[in-house]
Amino acid sequence: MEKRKIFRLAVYLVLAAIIIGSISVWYVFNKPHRDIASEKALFNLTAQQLMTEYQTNENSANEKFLNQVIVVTGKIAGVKSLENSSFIVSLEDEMQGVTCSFDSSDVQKYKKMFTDFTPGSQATIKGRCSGMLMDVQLLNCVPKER
Amino acid sequence: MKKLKTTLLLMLLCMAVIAQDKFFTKNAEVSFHSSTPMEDVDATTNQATTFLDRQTGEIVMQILINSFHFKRALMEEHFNENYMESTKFPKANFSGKITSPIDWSTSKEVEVDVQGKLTLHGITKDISVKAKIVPGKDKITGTSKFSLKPEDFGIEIPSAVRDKIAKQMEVSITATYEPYKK
Repeated sequence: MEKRKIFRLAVYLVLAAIIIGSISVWYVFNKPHRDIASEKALFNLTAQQLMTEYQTNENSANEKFLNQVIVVTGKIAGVKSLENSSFIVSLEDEMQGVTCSFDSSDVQKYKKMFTDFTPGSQATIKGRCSGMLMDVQLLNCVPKER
Repeated sequence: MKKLKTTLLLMLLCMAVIAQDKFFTKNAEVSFHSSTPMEDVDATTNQATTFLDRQTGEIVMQILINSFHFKRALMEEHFNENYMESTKFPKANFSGKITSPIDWSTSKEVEVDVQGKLTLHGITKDISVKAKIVPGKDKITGTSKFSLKPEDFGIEIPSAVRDKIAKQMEVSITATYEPYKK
């Protein structure tokens, strides 16, 4: 090939690399938060089982559950709306049970399902396990059909 | 860690004796912010658990580090994995007390000093901050704004991004305490 043609080809290749590189960096830079609703749950258990595992050994429970998407089923002990429009459902015990937080952005989406969330009734909730303070905490929750 | 948990539980047990003096919330809001010419860092959590004892002026607070929400997912990831190492050090703890005299019977806002130990990233430091408290029979509001230096807590910020993250983080806390009932 002519020297000129090779040169041009090289320029095009470098340009392509830069463009692809920039787009990749852009995507990573702006990568979205985890979409808990679409992630498959790693564990499916009752709220009581989750509480027992954490109360028995917090460290091994964290090794198993921390930052994982899990589905818990339990009896609703209380519901609460926060000032920032997020929604909290406590399972089994309001103080030391499993606390599920729904982001304000998801509250509108699941409004209908929330009307079923009354203290005493059963609920199945998927969320990211955040660890334990006094209660086991699940964040970015989505309600699930029973 | 276990010590704080025991302290929290002990406070809970003592509740039965003088129920009305223990106040608590599981949803205190804690956020931090820093501006640099390159990018603003902002994160918030609404899952801070805190107890306040009117009789002793003691305040304890616990936060799960991975409950802080950042607008940018990548920033949240770096915060947890690289800076705070939240899998190794999942919680931030504060244990201290209000050292200024406070008249709990008023409902006027009063500025107080709070002193105690803050444990972050596995490192414990004494801190002294100002807070505003609005006492009340059924509700006590506490707010505080103060600065923390990440490097005081062994939080290593690589020089490549140092300019992006200011040397000080402005921390804001808002807690609406309710009487603790068991």
